[in-house]
Amino acid sequence: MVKYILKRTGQSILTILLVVSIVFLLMRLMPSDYFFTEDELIKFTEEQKEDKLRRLGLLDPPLVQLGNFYMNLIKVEQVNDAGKVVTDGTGHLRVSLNLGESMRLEKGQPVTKVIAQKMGISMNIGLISLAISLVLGVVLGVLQANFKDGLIDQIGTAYTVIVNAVPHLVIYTVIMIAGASWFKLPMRYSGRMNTELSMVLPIICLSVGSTAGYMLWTRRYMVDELNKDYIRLAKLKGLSNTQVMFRHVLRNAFVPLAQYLPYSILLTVGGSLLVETFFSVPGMGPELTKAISRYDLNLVQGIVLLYATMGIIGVFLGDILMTLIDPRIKLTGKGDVR
Amino acid sequence: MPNNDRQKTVQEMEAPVVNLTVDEKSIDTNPKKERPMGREYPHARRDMPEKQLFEFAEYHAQDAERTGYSNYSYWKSVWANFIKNKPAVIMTIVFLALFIFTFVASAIGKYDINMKPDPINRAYLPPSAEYWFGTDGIGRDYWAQVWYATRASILLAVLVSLGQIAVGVVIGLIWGYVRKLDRFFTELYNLIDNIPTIIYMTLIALMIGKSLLTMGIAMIAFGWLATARNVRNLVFMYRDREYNLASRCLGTKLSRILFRNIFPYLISVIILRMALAIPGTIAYETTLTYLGLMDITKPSLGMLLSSARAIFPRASYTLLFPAIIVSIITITFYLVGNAFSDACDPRNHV
Amino acid sequence: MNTDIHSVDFDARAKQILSQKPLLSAEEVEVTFMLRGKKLTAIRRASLDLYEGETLAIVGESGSGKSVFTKTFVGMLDKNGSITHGSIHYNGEDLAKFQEKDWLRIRGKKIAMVTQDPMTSLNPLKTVGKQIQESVELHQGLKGSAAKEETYRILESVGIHDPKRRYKQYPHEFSGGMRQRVVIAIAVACNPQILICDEPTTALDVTIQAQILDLIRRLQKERGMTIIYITHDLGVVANVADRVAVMYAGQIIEIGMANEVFFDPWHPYTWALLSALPQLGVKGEKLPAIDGTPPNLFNEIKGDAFAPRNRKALNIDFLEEPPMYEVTATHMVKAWIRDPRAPKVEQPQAIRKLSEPKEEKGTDPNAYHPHKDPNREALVEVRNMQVTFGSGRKKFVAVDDVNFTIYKGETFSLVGESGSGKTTIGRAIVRINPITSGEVLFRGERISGKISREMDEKVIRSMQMIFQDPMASLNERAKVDYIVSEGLINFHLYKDDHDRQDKVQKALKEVGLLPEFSSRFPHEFSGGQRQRIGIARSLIMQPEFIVADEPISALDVSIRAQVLNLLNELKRNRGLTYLFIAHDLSVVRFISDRIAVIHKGRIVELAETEELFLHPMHPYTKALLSAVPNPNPYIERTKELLVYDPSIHDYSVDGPKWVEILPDHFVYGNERELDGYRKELNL
Repeated sequence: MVKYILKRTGQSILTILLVVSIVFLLMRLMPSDYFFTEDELIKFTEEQKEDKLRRLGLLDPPLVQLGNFYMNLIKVEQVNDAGKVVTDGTGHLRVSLNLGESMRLEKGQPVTKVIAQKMGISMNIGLISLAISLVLGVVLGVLQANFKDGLIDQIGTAYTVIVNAVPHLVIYTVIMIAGASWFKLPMRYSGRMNTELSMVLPIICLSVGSTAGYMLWTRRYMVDELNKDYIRLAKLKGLSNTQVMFRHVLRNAFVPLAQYLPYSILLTVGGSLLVETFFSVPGMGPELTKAISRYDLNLVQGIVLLYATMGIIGVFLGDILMTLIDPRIKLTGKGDVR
Repeated sequence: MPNNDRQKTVQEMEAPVVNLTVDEKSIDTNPKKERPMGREYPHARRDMPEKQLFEFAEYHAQDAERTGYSNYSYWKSVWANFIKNKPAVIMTIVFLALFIFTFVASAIGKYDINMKPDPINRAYLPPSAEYWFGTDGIGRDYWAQVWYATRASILLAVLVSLGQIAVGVVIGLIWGYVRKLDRFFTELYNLIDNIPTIIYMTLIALMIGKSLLTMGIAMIAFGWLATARNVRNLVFMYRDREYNLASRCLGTKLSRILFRNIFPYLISVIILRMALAIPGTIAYETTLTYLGLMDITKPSLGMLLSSARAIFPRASYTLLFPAIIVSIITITFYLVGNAFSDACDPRNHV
Repeated sequence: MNTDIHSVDFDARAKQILSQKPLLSAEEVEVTFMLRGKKLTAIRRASLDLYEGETLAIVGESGSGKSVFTKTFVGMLDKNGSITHGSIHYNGEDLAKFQEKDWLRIRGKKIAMVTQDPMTSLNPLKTVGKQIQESVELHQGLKGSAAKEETYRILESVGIHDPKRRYKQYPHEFSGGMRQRVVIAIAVACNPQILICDEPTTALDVTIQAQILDLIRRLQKERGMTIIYITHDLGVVANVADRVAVMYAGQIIEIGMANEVFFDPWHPYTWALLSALPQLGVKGEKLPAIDGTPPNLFNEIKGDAFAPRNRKALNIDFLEEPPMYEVTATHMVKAWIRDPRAPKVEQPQAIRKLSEPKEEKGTDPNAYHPHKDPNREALVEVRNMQVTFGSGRKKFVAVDDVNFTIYKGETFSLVGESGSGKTTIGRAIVRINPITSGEVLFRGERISGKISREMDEKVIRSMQMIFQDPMASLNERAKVDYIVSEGLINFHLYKDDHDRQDKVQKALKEVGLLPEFSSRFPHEFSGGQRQRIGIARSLIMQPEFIVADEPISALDVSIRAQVLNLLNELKRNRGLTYLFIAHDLSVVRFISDRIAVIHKGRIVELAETEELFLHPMHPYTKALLSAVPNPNPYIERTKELLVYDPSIHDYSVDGPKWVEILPDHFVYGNERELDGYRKELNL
């Protein structure tokens, strides 16, 4: 087990490094203009520009830059109690991640700080919505499978079809209008006043789609299990349909669902592009698009690093979770397609 | 051969002995001839005298061989099952009518898609006898816009989906069948899949361009993953079935094994994937347009939807018309896809 | 071993049965399924009485309805099936009228069932103990630790040792045989009055099968259960049954005490089934096979369903369904041949061989053995073959240091249990599996590893393979025409399309199929027909050497003989050489010149067929031979089962060798063991 975890951790780190390196090098293909703020571009003389580029190490060959990037990734500083950096040896050590500074979007702010701040908001909304849709989706999916082809099943199926069919933009619009006009809910997210209340609509919008997803998969896995041979033996034992459902089917159907749980939880940090743009939530969702459109290269790098790390750790945790709940799965070093 | 002396005893045996070399005369070489499903024995009649009833009957080797004939055809059953699914059939007809109507609508509409804008006099006029679907923000006829957009979006969706499926199937087949490449494709898959596609799309849009062609290709380039994985898993399932081993024993080439032995089993999955990819592409196009990652000069449903959102409370019809059309398209393909995949499952061939 | 469970006195049993009222009585049961809008009558008004304490075996081929019939006793018919006529009386109630909630009173509690496939019958995510305990709690009213104690006891009683440890394990940690014991434990834990065993040993190896049969018999004795045992294997029937019911096309066509059905059968179908047994065959002669395939139950069946396949059918067989004729008080036959007006016929000779004590045939000194021919020609040589799968810690040696030579014209058999590596060897020879080390020679030339293109084509054209599962070995989406001519197409072995079709038709004819079949898809054919299509596909390449990988083990009893006869006939007419892979020694004895016994990837013994049966040396060979079912109830029930324990070999000091202990008789063992074998032989 320990050996497996170590091996997988190594593989994961390697994948993350690969992704980050690719993105980093892609960024270096961009014209150097983007390393200045818009103001600087106008004001700076050629010499000043050159000076700044040299200071930032941007005149080195790309691979050297990549090496420097990794060398400086972990920053160890001495800080005093007030958090100021000191050099006289009086402070205590502080280890932090150095992803550079945002050049344009959040001028001069460390990328880590920007991400940390936005991440919190996205996770807040994301986790609440995940909890809601998981509970609702699984319960409804179980009901659907239990009364397969009955009224509940048909209504549930109709719901999943409609949610998947109608463009999300339209659904969100309807929810926004309905929420605002009938329940007087704020149409936009607000970080200052009525924050909780202004989160309601984004959370509902996020949950609508994922609930349908959980319903669909829960139902499908349950029905798959119901067709298996061991269900026949369980019935032959004399168990009633309800007993078979709760003692045998439910847990087995949950196993494939559980694999994606860590992934889904971790990816809430990324927020939802559409929902957050729609309700002007200052979260992670639109941040990457914005950063790219403003050519804020360090920020882009930082965000890609975040997504890749979360994605890979999510898959990793999912696999470990699977081995804990499914005794058949033996831990092997081989990564496989999910 | 030393067994010759034993041949005699075979002839002498009195128990029923099978004669596996079929009697030439008993073979009917005309396979087209109508054959009754139930057996008929003209040599045994009901009005037979009792004595004759208890006499030995003539033996016909053919009758024994032919007993297990059922008139089952896989694709016929698939079709019959599909036809039974009324909602799917109705929606298919509605969709086809809709698509044909996009051509008719442009012809019968009063205004052209290239109509001159007039934002001052004609912005957001509600539907009327003159402007059947009203006008848009810069005073163009919305009817012409909507139907043009519908046609464009359907075509784009079909092309992109075809591209995704084609790439996915080819990669999936190779990925699944060629053991040595499994690791490579698995890693490639995980690498791409670990990062949300929207990131790639954003990068491409800003680095290469936002044109329809670029984004269409980008959608194909990152949309094949799910199909490829699905096909790969299926190929894994069929790869070591005995009939494929038999083909290898017979020296059949890889391309032929993939095409003749494995591909036919994938058709149902491919059609299902295709049916789901079309609405998926339309939805994706909407999202991309809304996020400003796609530059479209001519209207598409995505464009209409995202521009309608801003003005929705004032001119609800601008959202309503494209939304209804998108919903019809999507529901059609969902129903058709599911009906088809159900129909393809041999367990449902009841 | 407890001799009590082996003793059998059928006359006493018959008396006992005649004095009782039936425990369960099914009358005129008709079961229909709706399939593709058509009605399939799976059970055609079958009647059956079950008596307390007996073991009734229902024997029949696939599709005969034996399994469907008994499913009606526990209310487990598939959704599209229903009882459309008749009644099933049990405990004063009519089970045929039961609704789902009524079944909860009977299912498990009174009538339990053991299912066929132990690999899929257990919930993979629950411990074995919990699954048994569920039964205990439900039916014995025990809770908590009391239920757990009872579970330990049941585990022990089904032969699972160390129950405390085993209780906590999951199904995947159990072997197939052990899982079947667990399934039996679950059924037994219900404390049922009637236990239905639906082919419980079909998926298991012969040695494991014999142990499970012993277990079932012992449990029945201990618990006084009544058992219905469903099987297609007459050897198994002989082992367990007091009474035997033979089913064909949804009807019971003969029923009687086991000795009556085996030694004095009267239905032509029973005759045919028994005579087709390879155990009764004479080497070099044809087996009396049954023509054709069982009837299609979608069609209305008129008269006796077996009539079209019966060479001695009467005219009335085609017109009217025969009634049940009484042969003795316990023996009934549904055949017109028992009518007083029917002509007198005698039972076929082969049947009589069953009741006669079987004399050991020994080695026929005049028999021709290709390997003894002074001009013998080595066709295929396997040298130090090793095949491994996986790598690193997961490395698994499937075949280890295997050596043998197959001479032109002989049938060389590889016999072993599942997972022994026998199929891997066959596939390695035809180069589907690559070999890890060693080499394979064909006519003295190396064909393993990298070889030239010309050589490759030559090998493909001269070596072909026949596969085990006729359902999986044909491409369902291609027509027979394409399937059979695939090899021709690959190497352009035809002049024009007309020539190709000609060749296909000839190949089909050669395997006894109608040429018109070439335009149909495989799903229209029965297992036996499909297997013959597979053979035609190999034959069209004009091969010299064929690897036949368990070609008959997936086929029905009545079809097996057809395929065996075909293989023998082709061998004679075309001078073919076979590598015949099998797990069933009785079949192998009938067809092969020499036999190699393989265990865990190693050949442990190799000898001429009769020599091997006469002087088995290696303990594994002995165990395998002792487990072979014999279709004579008296012999089968008194046979002594040997269990092979690999730990008896101590190879730590004295390494094992591959030694020719008698002329042409090789065995694997170390010096001490070999000395023991020589002593046995009085050398």
